[in-house]
Amino acid sequence: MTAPLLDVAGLDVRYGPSQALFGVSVAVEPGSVLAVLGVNGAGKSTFARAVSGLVAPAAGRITFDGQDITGLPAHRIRRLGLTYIPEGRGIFPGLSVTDNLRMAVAQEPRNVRAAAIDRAIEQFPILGNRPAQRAGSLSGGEQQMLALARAFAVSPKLIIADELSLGLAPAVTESVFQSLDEARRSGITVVLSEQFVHRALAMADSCVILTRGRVGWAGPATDAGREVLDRYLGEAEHPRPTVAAGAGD
Amino acid sequence: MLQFVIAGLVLGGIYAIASAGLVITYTSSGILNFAFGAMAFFIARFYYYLHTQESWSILAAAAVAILIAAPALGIVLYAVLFRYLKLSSPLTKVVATIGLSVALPALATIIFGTGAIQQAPGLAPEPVKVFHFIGVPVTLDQIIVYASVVVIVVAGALVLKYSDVGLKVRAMVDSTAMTDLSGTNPTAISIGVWAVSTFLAGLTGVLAAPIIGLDPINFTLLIAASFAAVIAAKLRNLPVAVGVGLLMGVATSLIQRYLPPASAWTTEIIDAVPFIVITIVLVYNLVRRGRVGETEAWGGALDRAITPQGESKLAASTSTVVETASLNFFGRYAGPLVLVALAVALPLVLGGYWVGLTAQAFAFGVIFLSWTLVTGEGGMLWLCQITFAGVGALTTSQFAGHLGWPVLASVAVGGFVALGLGALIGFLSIRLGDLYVALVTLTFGLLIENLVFTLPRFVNQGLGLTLNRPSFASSDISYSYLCLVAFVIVSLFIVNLRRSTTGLALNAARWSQAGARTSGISVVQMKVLAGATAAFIAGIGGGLLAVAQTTVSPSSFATFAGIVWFAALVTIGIRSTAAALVAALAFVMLPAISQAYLPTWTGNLLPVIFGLGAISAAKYPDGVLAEQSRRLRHLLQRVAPDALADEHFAEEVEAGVVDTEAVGMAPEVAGQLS
Repeated sequence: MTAPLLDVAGLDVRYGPSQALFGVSVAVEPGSVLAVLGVNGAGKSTFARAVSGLVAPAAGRITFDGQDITGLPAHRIRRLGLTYIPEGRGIFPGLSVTDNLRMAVAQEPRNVRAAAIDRAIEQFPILGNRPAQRAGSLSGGEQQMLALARAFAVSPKLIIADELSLGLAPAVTESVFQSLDEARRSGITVVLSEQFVHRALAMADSCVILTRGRVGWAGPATDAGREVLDRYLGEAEHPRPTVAAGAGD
Repeated sequence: MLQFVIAGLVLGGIYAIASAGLVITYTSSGILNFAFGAMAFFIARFYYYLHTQESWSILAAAAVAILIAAPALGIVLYAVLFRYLKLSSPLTKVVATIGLSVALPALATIIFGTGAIQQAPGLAPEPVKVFHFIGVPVTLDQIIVYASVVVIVVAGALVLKYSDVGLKVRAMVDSTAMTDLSGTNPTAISIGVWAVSTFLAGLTGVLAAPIIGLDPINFTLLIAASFAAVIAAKLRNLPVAVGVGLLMGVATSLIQRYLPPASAWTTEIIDAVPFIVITIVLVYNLVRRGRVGETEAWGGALDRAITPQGESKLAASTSTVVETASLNFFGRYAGPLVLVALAVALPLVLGGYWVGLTAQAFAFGVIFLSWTLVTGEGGMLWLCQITFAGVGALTTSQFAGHLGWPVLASVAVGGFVALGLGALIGFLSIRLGDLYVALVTLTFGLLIENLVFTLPRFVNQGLGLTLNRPSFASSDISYSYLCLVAFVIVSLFIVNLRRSTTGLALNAARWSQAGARTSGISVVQMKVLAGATAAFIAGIGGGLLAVAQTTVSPSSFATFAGIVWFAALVTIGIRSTAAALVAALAFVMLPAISQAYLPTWTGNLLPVIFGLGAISAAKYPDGVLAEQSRRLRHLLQRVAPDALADEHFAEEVEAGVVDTEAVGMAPEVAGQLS
């Protein structure tokens, strides 16, 4: 068995006086896909924010690619090859599409930046059509394309995608998942938290279910059967289609 | 005409540079820097020190002051202050920068030498060369201002639009968290922005010094005028801020051209230009959008999500009512009773001159209580309480002096006139965000100071107006007690209000307007009520102060003096009535002690202390007194847990009637109870 790319051990996170995560331990193998599931408020986003360095852990240890990254600021973690796409569009809404991509590659050596941006646009051609448009005025699907393009442009080792499909029309959701699948095939490790539980499990190798800030269940995605999902997710397992389509872009 | 436009562009250019400096730090860090004028003065004073006092060449002095010292000042202030402010509430941010604006000029005087300097050289060699440009004489100093504006606007636009650094700054303005996630260190960008901003402050200072002299008050006035351009830019729009700044300069100059130069009206209108601009902009925006606020102005959803709730210490600080709920009579009232006993003893143990000062101190205490109410309880940052005090003092003098009313009745009338003004301001600022309220009240104070306090009827050829004390309290000692009684009455009123339903509603409106509205509280009513009552208190305090001094000189109610008062109060504590008394005693007694017994330079140390005290609001928003008494109480609770505890309350906790967590009690205190 290879060493995990991301190893989280005993992670506690607090927001001021309230504690959001309690002793969460998760390991992600290189090249695999981990699905992080849980009802609203279970701690999925907090887990992602803590691993990416946006919020400091109160206790525990996070190792990424053999290096202890516990307590490092987000920009240092990103430079090590861990890219986090936060919930609700990981873009700068006030900047143009081009500037968004320029920001994504700003830490790369000068001579490779243009090529990285070209590559990203090649992958999502729609972005090439409107380089000067303010990103906040793109449609929800296009914004998510831009967020993914920003993530792929730097060839990360690990992508954490938080609720990528939230508020997208079904067809757009499908293409977002396809992009993640492509990323996985090119060797990028993926951690994704999703409302579409079955769609996520179909893609994932392993699965972690968070309940009230603790790991309720963890195991191979194929073992996450009906009874497990019913027990831990209940209603949330089947998001009502009207919600998904109605909140579309 | 052209001549006046060209002349106006000098002042306008200085406004433009200053507003650019204010806007960039606001957009990138959410801090509206009330100390910008003080920073400008500090650097200009340093330039004068190097160039005039130490005879450095212009180039060397300018390079060291503007290019090295100014950015260094910004970096140091970032390291010790601004980075801690980023997550604070708007109120704390304003209070801390106000503290800085009080401390910096006094610090400059201590370091570089005393006194306001009327004539300061600019960047042009003396005698300043005069050129003729299509028949209009233009000095080299003016040309340097034009050149600076052009260079800053062009270079700023190019850097922001095309360079990597500019991109990162724009990205950070959009979202700090996303910038961090993109691999760019937001702290490095913040430091850079503050360095650029203080560079602009330094440049503003050195360019303005030949025009307005090296007087800290003139500098703060200049920046107060620039605030008008910043408000027009809704705090964020850089091009609009620069444009409005330039226009205001030209407008001022054109008013001088077309209005009769000898008329008193002309100077008054010129002084009122910033206020007129602010009024037009706010009314326009209120009519168009119904509300002017800055709550959503900074950061994105992600930034708000990762900001821990209750991170702002001011928000986390619990009210005294909650803190003392578990205490018995002794624990709750020992402190205030000891303080009042000391205050009663003070006029008896002191002699002569010092007794007169205690009377003034108690009157100051009443004025300070108006902030305890409007800011401490109401959460509204009003910077014009000194103006209300001045209105109270002047009204008292008119009624008592000219109309022959009894003096205490005149004081009451003064209170009611102030109440009317307070209600008006409260009503006008209903739909404004915290920062705008601070800015509007500041400019309102300046407006009244320039338009009303300068009327010949009040100034009385610089002599002021005399007042007689009431016959039953004509001696210093009896008048002291009269003021102390007034203080205690107002204190009891505030304490009572705090515990009443109205106080609860006021507090609710303070922490969440939406929450208060949905609970059926009229936010409008609460704001007008708090503002008007506070203005009444300030007016009464001003009247009492005037009677204590037996003369009223309107110049002693200058708006900027009020900012020092405010800093003194915040240092001791803005939320407690006892703190108002301590602050007033400190504010009146310490300068007198320093004058009588200590070397002269210590006089300048006081504003520095008060300024630093206000800055420390970032850490202890409740002030020194509350912090120390809390420590004392916790110590007592540890040493003798039963001495202060209220048995009834402990029983309720045990029975589960009172949820200690819900009332915001610290777990360790709650643990001792059960």
